[in-house]
Amino acid sequence: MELPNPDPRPEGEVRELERIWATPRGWRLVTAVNNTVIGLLYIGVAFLFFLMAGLLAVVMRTQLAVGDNRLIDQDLYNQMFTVHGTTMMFLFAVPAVEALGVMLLPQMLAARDLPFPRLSAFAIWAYVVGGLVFFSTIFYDLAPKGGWFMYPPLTLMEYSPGDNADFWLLGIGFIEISAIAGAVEIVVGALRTRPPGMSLARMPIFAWTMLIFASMIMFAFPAVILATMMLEIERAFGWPFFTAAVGGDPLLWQHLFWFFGHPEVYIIFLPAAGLVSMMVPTMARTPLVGYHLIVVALIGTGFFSFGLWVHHMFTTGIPALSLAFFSAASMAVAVPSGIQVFSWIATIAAGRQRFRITTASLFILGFLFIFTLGGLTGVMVAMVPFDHQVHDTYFVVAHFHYVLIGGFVFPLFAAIYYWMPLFSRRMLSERVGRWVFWMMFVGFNVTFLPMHLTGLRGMPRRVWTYPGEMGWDTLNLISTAGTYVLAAGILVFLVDLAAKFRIGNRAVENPWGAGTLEWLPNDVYSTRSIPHITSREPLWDRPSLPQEVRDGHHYLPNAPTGWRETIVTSPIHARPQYVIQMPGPGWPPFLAAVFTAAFFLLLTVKMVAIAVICGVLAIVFVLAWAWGLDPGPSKGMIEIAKGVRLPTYMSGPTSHSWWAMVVLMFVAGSLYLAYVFSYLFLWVVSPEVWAPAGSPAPPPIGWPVASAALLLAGSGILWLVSRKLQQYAASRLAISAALLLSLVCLSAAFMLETGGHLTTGLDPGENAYGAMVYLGAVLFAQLVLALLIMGLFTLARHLAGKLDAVRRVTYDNYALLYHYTVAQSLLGLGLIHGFPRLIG
Amino acid sequence: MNEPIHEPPVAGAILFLLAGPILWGGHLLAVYTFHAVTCAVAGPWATAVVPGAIVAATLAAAGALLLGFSFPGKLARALRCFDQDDSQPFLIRAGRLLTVLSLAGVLWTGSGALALAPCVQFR
Ligand code: HEM
Ligand SMILES: [Cu+2]
Repeated sequence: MELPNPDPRPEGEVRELERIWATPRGWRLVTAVNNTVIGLLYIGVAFLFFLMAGLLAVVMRTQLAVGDNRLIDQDLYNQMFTVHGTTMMFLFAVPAVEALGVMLLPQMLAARDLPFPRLSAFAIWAYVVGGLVFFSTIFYDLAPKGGWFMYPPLTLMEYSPGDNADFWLLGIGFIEISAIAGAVEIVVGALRTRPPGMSLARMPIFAWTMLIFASMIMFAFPAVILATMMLEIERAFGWPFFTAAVGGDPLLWQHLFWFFGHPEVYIIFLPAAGLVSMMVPTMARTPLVGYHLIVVALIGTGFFSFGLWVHHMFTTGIPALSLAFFSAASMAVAVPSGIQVFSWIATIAAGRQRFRITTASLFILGFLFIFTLGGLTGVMVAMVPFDHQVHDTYFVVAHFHYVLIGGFVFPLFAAIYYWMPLFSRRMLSERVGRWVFWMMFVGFNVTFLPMHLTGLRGMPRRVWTYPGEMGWDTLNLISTAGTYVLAAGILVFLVDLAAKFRIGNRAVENPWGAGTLEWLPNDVYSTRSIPHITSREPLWDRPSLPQEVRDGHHYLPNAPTGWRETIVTSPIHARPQYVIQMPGPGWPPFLAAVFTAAFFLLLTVKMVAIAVICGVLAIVFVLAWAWGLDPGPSKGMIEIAKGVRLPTYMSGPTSHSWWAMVVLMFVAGSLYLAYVFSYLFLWVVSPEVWAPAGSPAPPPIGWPVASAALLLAGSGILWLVSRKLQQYAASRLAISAALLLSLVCLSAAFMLETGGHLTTGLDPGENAYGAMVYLGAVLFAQLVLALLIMGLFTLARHLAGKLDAVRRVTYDNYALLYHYTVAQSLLGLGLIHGFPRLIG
Repeated sequence: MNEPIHEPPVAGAILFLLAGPILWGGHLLAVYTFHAVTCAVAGPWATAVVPGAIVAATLAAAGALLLGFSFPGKLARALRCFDQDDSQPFLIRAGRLLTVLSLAGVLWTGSGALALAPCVQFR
């Protein structure tokens, strides 16, 4: 292969890179946005949540050690398992995966950073502040008590008065938004910032899993966001979505929650499997056996996991045949997981040398053992009659800890041991590591294996204590003893971590002799030059690669624009397309995150006035941050390799911001589909409250028609503006007027839609039909609000001379969301006004 | 801005890869919705139509999956993601394997209709 930059590089380029990518010091550290810095914060905080939620588990297990124990009371116990479960799922597992993505993905792709560094910083800070406040509610008797899935009617105002449940709804709803922001980053990062030559077929498995992880978040999280919105609205304003007496249905919550909740466990597990697929070949010193099969298994699992949610509802009275569909799907999903397990075993067996036993490999073997057992009990509970027996018993608690701890915590520990050298000057101790592994492995099994039996003997989950004479004492005592061993193992790990972990460049370059790009020579700017890739294990197939990369013989060995930049490549074949100029450290993302978190938390405690102020401040900082983006093509073309010149700016469908917008539109679209589903679901359950028989009929057809006409007119106007921008013939005044007019059309369409329902006397608090109709208006209003802000912002850019035929990202984003809103609202108008006429 | 690189649109490639799973999902959604709604609103004659309809839907989905499995090149051309580059065998192989997985899922799901009485709860 010919090197992209064969000639010796001029002096001083490395110093220039170091200056540009330097981490801010002192208290300005919070303004840092580089993935290695904020990624470390991210994983650190996620791990902190693991420890704190684990501590709650130790307290719970202590309470359960013997029957009739009075260590903590029932109310506190309820808060504890709710906060433990919620924290583990939402504040530890998902963020830890995203953190690994933020930290490792750019390194594995040899990109200088992810495409939207400030977006990651925003998501992370929002999560840190929001998460810490949420967790602290346990200390003030303010924590939610409804379990991690918060089923109504228990969580309705009548049965859960006070603010406790609201902390869950607003706090977690908000963390989910932060997770979605991270997902946008990861999708675009994995598809567009790969090194030249790394086609899809050469992408590391971890990148595949992160891509699938992020896509799953795009489609799963909106369902639970809608559900939390509905429950919060019902609690605050009494719109009866879940109250059966007036046409609501608590089962709707279960459908929406588990449509998210089941994929959630694969959202956690697949990236962990991806980590394992990266480590196993290194330890076996041979390429992964069945790369294709693994990719297929990952896609299959990710996709199939959306068709399993009803297996959490086997005991809710759904007809048996429907249950059979989901029982079948639940067993079918075990097939791709099995494929992966066999691929790993085959890889271990295929190595010509013996599989190397390190602490990381021990954790991988432990994972295989524990996760397989959890998978087997999973197939057991996927069988409807068996599930009827063990539903809501400790058997289920044992099952999901086997898959969650086996399938996620063990691979995570393996990953910490394996990738530690990337981030720390010293590695963790292998000798202590054996102790950590064996204590955790034994402690885990001693804790959770007996729970299968406690469950089969009938002990329900979520009980704060039990009578001494039930025959459950011994098993519980063993479980508790195991928990202490497990906790001690983690403690030993922490001590070793404190002794060894020192941020800084690694001492040993590639300690395990791995074949993937994250082990190239690295510094704050990532790799000196971005390698040209011709295989899946470039470091094995081209031993000279590290030296070439360090000497700047590959792409972009310097910083031609004088600021942070990375290469964007095409999504399938990874051919270089353009260079992104990326933003550096700054206050706006940090401040915007703090105020966004404050907005949601103050709303929870009903301090509306200050909350609104914080909300406005958050928007102001987001705008301040957005103002600095979209630099325009002022830097022209630059040379990234001998004879390869790329533009430094891109707008339109190839640009990364366009892609991010499309991802967001998918998120919004799945939220809306969840809404359509809910509407039809409640109609099936309670047709008697539906218009025209059970509620005021929808307004005369003129209202929705006028609304639709206005929406279409708005879209048309933007289409014209788009053409005018291209020709750049229009006057400043005409474009400003057109932008304003599009906003007027939109607002008027919204007012007509809402006003029409008000004239009929329909009341959202009356029954589920009214609530659903006005919820449609709420979803419409959200988009209108977002578009008003974006539209005025675009107008300001235009007036400031920062918008033209080429430099048009702000406008494109506005127009894309606008057209999306029109499409969604037309569908909505058809549903809300057409459906009652259809059935009436 | 000028576009320096041309490759088949990624949407086509994604659709091609996911064709099998999408059919599986469509089938599950169709039989589940049909079954739930028919049993909820149709009354006694639901029992008569449900099994046959589900078997028919299952056979149709299975047939479509078999077509996709047998003629991947045609499918790729239809989705405009066919090109001669190195990723092509990868996409084709992965896509075909996914149709096999989906076929297993579809048959597994549909077979329930042969064994279970529709619209009753076994409790
Ligand atoms: C560190 C060791 C752990 C121990 C000793 C432990 C122990 C427990 C205990 C005692 C309960 C309450 C059971 C009940 O009363 O019904 C529980 C519930 C739960 N745990 Fe863990 N756990 C651990 C780690 C984890 C991890 C790593 C996760 C997830 C990633 C997790 C997720 C959950 C969930 C979702 C619940 C259900 C909460 C609810 O019922 O709403 N746990 N765990
Ligand atoms: Cu599940």
